[in-house]
Amino acid sequence: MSPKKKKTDDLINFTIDGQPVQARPGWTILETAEQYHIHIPTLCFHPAVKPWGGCRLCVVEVRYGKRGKVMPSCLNPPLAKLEVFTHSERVLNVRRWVLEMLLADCPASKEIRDLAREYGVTATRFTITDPEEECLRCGRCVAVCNEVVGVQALTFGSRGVNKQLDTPYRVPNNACVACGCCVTVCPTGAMSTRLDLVRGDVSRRTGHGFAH
Amino acid sequence: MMHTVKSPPKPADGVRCGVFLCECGPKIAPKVDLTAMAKLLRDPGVVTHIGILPFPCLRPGLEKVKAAIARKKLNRLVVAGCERRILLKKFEQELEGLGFKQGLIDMVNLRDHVAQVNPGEPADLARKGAKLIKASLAGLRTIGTPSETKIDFHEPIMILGGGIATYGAAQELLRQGIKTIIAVPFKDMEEELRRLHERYPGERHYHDRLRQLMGEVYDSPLVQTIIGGTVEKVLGRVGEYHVTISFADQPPQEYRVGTIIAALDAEILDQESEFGHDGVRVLSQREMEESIWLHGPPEHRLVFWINDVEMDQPYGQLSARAAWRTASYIREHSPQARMAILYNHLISFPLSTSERRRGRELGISLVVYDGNTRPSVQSGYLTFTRLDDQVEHELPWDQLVLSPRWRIGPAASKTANTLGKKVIEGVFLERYPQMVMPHEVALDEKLPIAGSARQPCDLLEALRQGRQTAKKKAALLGKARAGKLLAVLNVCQVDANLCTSCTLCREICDCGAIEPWEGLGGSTPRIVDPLVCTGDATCAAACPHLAISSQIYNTARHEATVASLAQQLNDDEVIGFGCQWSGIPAADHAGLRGLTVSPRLYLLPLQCLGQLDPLVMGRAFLEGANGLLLIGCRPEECHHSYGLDHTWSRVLLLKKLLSLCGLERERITLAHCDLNKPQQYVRTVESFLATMDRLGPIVRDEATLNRLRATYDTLHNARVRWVLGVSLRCPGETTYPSQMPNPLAYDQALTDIISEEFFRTRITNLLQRRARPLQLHDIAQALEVEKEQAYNCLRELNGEGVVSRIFINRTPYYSLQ
Repeated sequence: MSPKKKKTDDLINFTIDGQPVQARPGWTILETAEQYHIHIPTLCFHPAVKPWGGCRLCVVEVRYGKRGKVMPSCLNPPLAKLEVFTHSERVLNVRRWVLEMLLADCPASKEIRDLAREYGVTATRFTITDPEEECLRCGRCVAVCNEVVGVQALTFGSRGVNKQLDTPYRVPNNACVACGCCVTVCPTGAMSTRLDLVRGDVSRRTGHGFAH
Repeated sequence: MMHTVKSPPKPADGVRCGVFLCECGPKIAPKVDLTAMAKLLRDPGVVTHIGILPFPCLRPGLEKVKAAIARKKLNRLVVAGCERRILLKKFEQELEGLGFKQGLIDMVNLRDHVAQVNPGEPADLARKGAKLIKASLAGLRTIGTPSETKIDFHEPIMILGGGIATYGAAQELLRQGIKTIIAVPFKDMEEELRRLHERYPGERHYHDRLRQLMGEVYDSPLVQTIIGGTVEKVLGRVGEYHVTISFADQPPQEYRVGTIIAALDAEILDQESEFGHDGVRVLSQREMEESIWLHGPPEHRLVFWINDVEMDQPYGQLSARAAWRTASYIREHSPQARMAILYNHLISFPLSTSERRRGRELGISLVVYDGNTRPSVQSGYLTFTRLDDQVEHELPWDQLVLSPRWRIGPAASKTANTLGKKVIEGVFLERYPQMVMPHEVALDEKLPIAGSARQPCDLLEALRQGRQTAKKKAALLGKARAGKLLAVLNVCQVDANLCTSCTLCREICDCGAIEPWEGLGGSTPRIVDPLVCTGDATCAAACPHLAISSQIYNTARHEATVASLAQQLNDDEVIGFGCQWSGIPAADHAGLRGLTVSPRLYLLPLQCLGQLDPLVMGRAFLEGANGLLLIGCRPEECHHSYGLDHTWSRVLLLKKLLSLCGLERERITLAHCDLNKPQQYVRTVESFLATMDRLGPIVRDEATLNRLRATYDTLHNARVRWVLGVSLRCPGETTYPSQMPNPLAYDQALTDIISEEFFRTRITNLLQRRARPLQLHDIAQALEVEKEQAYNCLRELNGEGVVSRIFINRTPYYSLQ
C-alpha cells in the first residue's frame, strides 16, 4: 500500500450539522468542528490544557445508525459515518439546563448571563447560595497553573457541592510565581478577585532574594 | 576614540520564516481583516509562508502548521493569536521534533492587544497587526540557531564547611558510588558527638545513629577527608571548580572538584542577663547539656522556659522540641528530677500524641501561659499568668533553663562569602526561590547550603538537607555521565575578547552565575556558569563593553525589533515595552475584560524590563519613534533581580540625552502596573498618549537627526555605560561611588559626563560625515556652539589621538585620524 493511499484511509468522514467533514485519528469532535468554523460554546475547554469536560456546555448530539446520545464534544473522538448535531433540540435542551444551573452557581458573572440569554435562559429555578459568586469551578486556572506554568499553587478544595477553588492549606503560597496565567484563562473574571488570596504580598517574597 | 555606528544586524543564514494567523473563532477574524494582513505581510525576502488557520493551537491546526513547516522547510515561526505566556509552551513542545529549539518561535497577541481592545475598522487593525508581526519577524531573523553546550561535570564532589550535614550528604554520595572529599575541622567521632550540643541542643537520643553514620562515612574508600583546612579561593563553574585550601602546617593544596556543597551550621549563643541568665542557676539549653556531660543528669526541680517570643526569635517550636527531648532524657536517667516546660500560648508545641503520652508517663508537665503578660523570674520561682483564669501562678525551680539564641556565626558567613554567596551580615543564608516560571529556573543552585546556617533547624533536618542536596548533585552527575547534561539554551555568554574584568556584571547578577576565570596571561575575564544562569540578561544590558549577551533575548534582537517597528509607525503612534509579569498580562487582561484602549500603542513583550539595553531605547528614537512607554512591575515586586530599578536608571540616562538633543524628556516614560488592574493599565496608556499628543511628533530635520545619531553612538560609549552601570543599585545600598555624598551629586556627575561624551560624539560624527578636514570655525558653526567649547574638545581629542590637526596655509584643519 502506498503511503499516500494509507493517508487517505486514515481520514474519518462524518457530518456535523449535515455538513460533511473529515478528521484524523486523535482529533476530537470539538476540534474538528472549530476547524470547519462550526462554533460550539464551551467554558472549560482551553487549547493550552488537556480537556476534562467540566462545564458540559459543549455537548453535542451524536447519531450512529439507530442509536444516538448527547455527549461532550471536547472529550470524544468522532467515528466514521457519525452524524453530529451541535444545535439540535435535544442539545439545546441540555445546554439550557446546564446554563440554568450555572446561573444558580455563579449569578454574578456577566459572561454567563450573556451566554444564557443567547439560549433564552434568563432566570433559574435552582437555589442561589451566593449572589456574589462568579466562579463556575471550570478548572481552567487549576489546569493552567499545573500544566502550563508547572507549579501547583491552585487546587480544588472540598468535594461535591462544596467544591471550591482554593490554595493548598488555604493560605497564600510560595509556589505561586504571580504570573497571572490563571487570571488570563478564567472565563468569567472570578480569578481576578481571588488572585491576591493566591499570590499574597508579592513584594514580601521577591524580597530581593533574601528571606527575612 | 571613535564610536562606530553599528549597522543593523544581519539576518542569520538560511532563515526561513513562517507566519500563522489565528482566527480564534469569533474573537479575531471578524474584527481584524486577516486576508488583508496576510497581503501586507507578503514579502518573499522575509516571509516564506503565510497561513490563516481557524485555530493553529488545536490538533487540526497544528497538523497543518507541521505540514507547512515540512513542505517549506521553515525554521522560524511567528504565531499571531493570543497569549505567548500560555500557548508558547504548547507550540514549543509540539514542534520540538521538527528542529524548533527554544526561542525560535515567537507569538504576537492579536486577540488581546489588537482585536478585542482596539476600536477601528478591520483593515486598520490589520495594518496594526501586520506592523507588530513584521517587528517580531525582524527580531526573530537576527538570532542564529541556538547552540546547546554539553557540560562537563567531574567527580569528586566536595563538601566544605564542616557542618553536621557533611555526614548526611557524604552518606548519600557514597551510597550512590560517587567520590567525595569532605573537609572537617578534626576527625574524631567521639569529640564530634561531645560537641554536638553546641550547635544542635537536645539531640542526645540521636548519638548512636550519628556514630554509625560517621563510621560509614569515615570507613568508606570513596571518601577523602581533609582535616583542619581553610578555604582560600574558589574558581570555576558548576562541573569544574578549583578549590584552594590552606593549612596551618603544610603548603596550600588545590583540589579540582565537580561541585561544592556547603555544610554550615549556625552558632548558639547564651542568653543575656535580662532573663536572669547567670550560667549556674539560670542557664541556656547548651549549658544544661554541658552540665549533664560533666555532672550527670540533675536530680532537682528543673523548669524549661521557652522564651523565644520574649526575645523576638521565631524559633519557638525548635526550642520547645529541644527542651522536651532534654527533659525526657533527664527524667529517664534521673527519676528524682521534676520537670516542667513553660511555653507561650503563641507557640504551638510540636508534639505527637505518643510523645504527649510519653511525657505524661514521665511526669513532664507542659504549662502554657498567656503571652500577653510576660513571666517574671524570681529567685526560686517563675511567675506566669495562666491563659484560662488570668491568675498569676508560680512555678518553683532549682535550675531554670532558657531557649537557645540562634545566630549565624562569622565563620559560616565567611565560608559562604568565600564560596561566592552573597551574604548579609546577621541574616541566615536561606533564600526564597526566585519568583519565575519553573522552566526559567536555572538547572542548579549556586552553592547549595545544608545545615542550620540556612535557617535554624534540628539535627534530623540538617542531615536531611545534606542528603537532599547530595541527591540533586548526584542526579546532575548521572546526567553528565550519560552525556545528557546540556545547558539551557537561554543562558548568557561572555565574549572573553571584549571582557575587561570590570566586575560590574558580577555585582548586578542576582543568580550568582558570573564567575572569575583564569585566562591567558593571568587575566581574569568572567564566565557565565551555564547551570546557574537564568538568562534574564539584566547583566548583559549593563555591560560597558557589550561583552555579555544572551543567545535568545539579546540586544541585537531587541534592536532589530524596535527598529523595524519604529520605521513603520505613523507620527501619532508610539512604542511600548511590557514586562511579562505586569505590563503584558495587564494588557491581556484589558482585552479579556473587554476594555477599550487606543490602537496607537504598539506593545512589545519582554521577559523583564531590565533586559532592555539603553541602546534599544536610543535606537527606537533614531529609527523614527516619537515616544517610548515602558510598563513594568512596581519596584519592590520585580521578579528579576532589581530589573526595574536598573531600567529606572537607564530611562533617566535617555531622558538626559533627549534633553541634550533639544527634545522633551517625557518622550520616554516608565510606568508601573499590576496585572490584576487592567483599568489602571488603560489609564497609563491614555495618559502617555495624551502627553504625546501635546508634544507632537519629533521634527526630523538634519540637525535633530544628527543629534539622535550622536545619542545612539554615545550609548555605545564604554565610559557612559560604565558610569551608568555603577549607578545600577540595589535598594539597600546607601553609599555612592567615588567621592559623591548623595544622589544629587551623583546625578550631577552623570550629567556632566554624558554632556561631555555627547559633545565629543557629535564632533567625531561630524568629521566622519564630512570626510574632509574642517576648520574650527566650520565645526563650531555646524554644531551651533561657541568656538571655545569646540576648540577645547578638539584639543582633548587630538591629545587622545582621535583627531589630527594639520595646517594648511597656517590655518589649522581638523580631521579624524
